[in-house]
Amino acid sequence: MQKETSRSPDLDKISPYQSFAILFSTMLGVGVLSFQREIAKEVGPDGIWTILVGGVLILAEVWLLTRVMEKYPHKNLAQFGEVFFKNRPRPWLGKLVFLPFALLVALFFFAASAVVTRTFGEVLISTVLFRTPLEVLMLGLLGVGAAVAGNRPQVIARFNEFVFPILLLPLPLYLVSFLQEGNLDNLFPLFHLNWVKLLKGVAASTFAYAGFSVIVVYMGYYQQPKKAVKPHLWAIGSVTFLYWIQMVVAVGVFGRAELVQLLWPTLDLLKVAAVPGMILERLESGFLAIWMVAVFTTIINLFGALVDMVVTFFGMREQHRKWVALGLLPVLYYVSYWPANLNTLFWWNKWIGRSEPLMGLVLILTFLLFAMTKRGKKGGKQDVPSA
Amino acid sequence: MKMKRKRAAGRGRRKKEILEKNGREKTEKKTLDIKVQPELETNTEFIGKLLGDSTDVVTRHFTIQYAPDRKAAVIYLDGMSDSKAIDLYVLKPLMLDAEKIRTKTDLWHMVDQSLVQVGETKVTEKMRDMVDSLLSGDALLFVDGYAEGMVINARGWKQRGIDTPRSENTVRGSREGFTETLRVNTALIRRRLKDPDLRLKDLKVGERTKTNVAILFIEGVADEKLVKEMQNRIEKIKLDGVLESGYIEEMIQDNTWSPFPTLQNTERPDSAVAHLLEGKVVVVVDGTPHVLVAPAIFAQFYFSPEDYFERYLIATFLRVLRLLAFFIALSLPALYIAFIGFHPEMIPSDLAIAMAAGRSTVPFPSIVEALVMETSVEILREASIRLPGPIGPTIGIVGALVIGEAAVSAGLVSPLMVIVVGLTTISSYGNPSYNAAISVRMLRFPLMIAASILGLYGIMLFLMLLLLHLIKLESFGVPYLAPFSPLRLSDVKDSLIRIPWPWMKKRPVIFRPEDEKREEVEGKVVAEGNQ
Repeated sequence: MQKETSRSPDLDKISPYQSFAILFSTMLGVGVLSFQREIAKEVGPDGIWTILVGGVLILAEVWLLTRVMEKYPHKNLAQFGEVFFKNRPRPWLGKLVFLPFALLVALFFFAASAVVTRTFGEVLISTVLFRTPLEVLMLGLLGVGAAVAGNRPQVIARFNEFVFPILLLPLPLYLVSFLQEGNLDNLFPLFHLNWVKLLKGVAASTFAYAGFSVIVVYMGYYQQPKKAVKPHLWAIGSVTFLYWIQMVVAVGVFGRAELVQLLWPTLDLLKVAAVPGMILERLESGFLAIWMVAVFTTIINLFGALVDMVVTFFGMREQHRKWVALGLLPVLYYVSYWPANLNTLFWWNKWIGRSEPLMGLVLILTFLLFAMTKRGKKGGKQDVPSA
Repeated sequence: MKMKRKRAAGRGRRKKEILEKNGREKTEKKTLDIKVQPELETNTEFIGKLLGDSTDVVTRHFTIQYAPDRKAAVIYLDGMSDSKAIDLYVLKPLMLDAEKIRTKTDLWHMVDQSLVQVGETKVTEKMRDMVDSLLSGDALLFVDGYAEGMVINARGWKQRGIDTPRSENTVRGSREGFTETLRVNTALIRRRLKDPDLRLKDLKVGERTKTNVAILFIEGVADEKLVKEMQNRIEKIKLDGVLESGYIEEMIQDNTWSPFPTLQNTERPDSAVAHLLEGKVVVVVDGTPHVLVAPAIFAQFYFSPEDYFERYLIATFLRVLRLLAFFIALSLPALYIAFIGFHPEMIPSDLAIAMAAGRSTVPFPSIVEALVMETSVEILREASIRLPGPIGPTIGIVGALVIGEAAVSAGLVSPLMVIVVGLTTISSYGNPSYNAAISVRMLRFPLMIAASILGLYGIMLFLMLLLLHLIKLESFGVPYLAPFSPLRLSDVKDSLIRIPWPWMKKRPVIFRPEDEKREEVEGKVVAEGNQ
């Protein structure tokens, strides 16, 4: 029996800190467990700085995207078509024109959450739960994920906000393993790259940064869309910094030759770390339990964004949100079960990472184009009062 | 077709019944909504009949001195009213000291103005008011020839004195606890809060029990909307009986399905006043020492009133301990199951060998072992509450020590399991409020089952679901996980930590107080007084 109460107004919007948490925990996903290998394969120790280059590129893109999006406050991607075509005689036309873009983004969210789910399932059965069927793990993750994703974005935002500090817990362990086993010689030689290799290295790092595009949905619910730039940049900056530390530690501890052989370098880093007087040994299960939170937030943010796009695009009622999530659950499960083996899965991971910056660019350009035409129309339309 | 007609007929009959019932109720109400008659006998007979000539109704007919033609009667309920006070201050003046009547003024006027020597009286002609007052313990006075009656406050029943609060023990702080009488309780609050802005709103809940309920708040501090919301929710209650504040809690809480309480109850007046000062609303219910506090957030159930009496470092330390106790009580058995069944590599090898030796004779999987032990501890705890006073602890020791020890040596349970169960039980008592502790104790069981299915991973999945529930939960419009989600940095000062009082200059904003500053209250009152 839910009672009707006067809610505090800030509960109905996403605060700047919450937007920071959303962006941070979406990007921090399964990529963390293996991105070092992909980068080391391409550029070796130089990954230490190519990861920073990748971060800066993403930073620039998110900055642009935020600036374009903030022009249309309290609207998400699925509603943009209506905004651009507001004064036209046929509002559904706007929806139709914008449908390809909405579909593109929705498809991305869909594929990304499926791949993330599958990857984490693979991590679990290859390291901790050897005898548990993959189906059970993925269904558990997706089921609980659907329960969260079937809520208003504000609830998802508060979820992210609450669990954010947990994501920082493993950080000291990296440093411990670097201090104990790290070898500075492994970090050199640096700057042995040509341009092609550099590009490859940056492209490899995009996989780790995947997920930033969820802001096109969540920005529609921001309390202060005009002030979104700062938390966004902070989020990307912190993620970049965290990855940089992990990259340095992984390269320093294992060296290139060993790193490219490891399936999940980050987990192996934790096996190396041994703090005397620790109550528990072999922390990777515990770490994975904490890491599950990071993966889980990635899934719910992508999944939630997908659900919200469906709900807003079709103008559904709030009560139907959970049914949309439940309805998407089997499809998502089926798709995430699709890749036949780890190799195909990694291939998908790679392509999702690479396609996202491109998708972001397409969105930015389209928004700019529409905004420009609109401004032109506005100038010429002064004498016609809007209906 | 036939069926339809039949059903229609049935519906018609039911309608008739309902109509009849309503009609009966209406006639009853009508009979009560009459006026007091000038004839004394009519009035006393009416009341006698209304109460079905119950034996505790005392009707005393007498004649007023110096007015022999004027018959009068006092009616009260034996045991509910103070019969000595009625003898001394009502009957005696009217029967013996009524000299003033000889002056030529109106008799009824004289009775009202100078003969009945009781502070609180009320003259009314409405029979309903009179009956309600009679049932609340007042005495009624009728005089023949006057179509009015007097309600005399002579309430005086046997009541328990002020005692130490049983459910909230503290080392430091007031020893006074609320009692079962509403007025005593509101007075206990008023005595600690001499603020002219303290408001009391009286309501009656329960069609038959007509329980008195008072809503207390500080005007200008508590959110007006919150007070209105509380009043609305209480007024909407449709129950025939309200015997404890728990009835009201369940009728007005935000979420019926949640294992977590969204209203706090306290037995301590000092604690109630502290809540009032934070801008919350306190609901005092007649007949119970437990008053309700709303809104309530999750963290608040882990605060003890002592946290504010002891120095801030002690308070902060204790709060961190309680958080730890919360996690142990919730998850230790589940972690044990997960470690044994799924992640034995995480246990240090020496301990793992010892544990394997301890478990070698145990014939059950760890989930069964844990479920059996935890359930028996819960039974033990429940039993020790019901046992008569002095036996309780003895049985507790016999149960825990003797049976536990025997179970281990019989090879039914591993020694570590006993330690786990013991720690869990002790930790669940680390929670200062009983009802929140029970919810944690309940949630332990599904968590254990989740751990037995998927290990640590299952625990995390369940915790995520629990977190989702907590995030969605609200208490009177205040998010349950505030001030952490949504984050209010200014309110973290009194959450897991408590900062020293000199720095606590503002009330917590999550409760949306109308006056945020704590220190300027006095200045404001003086200024208003001067105007």
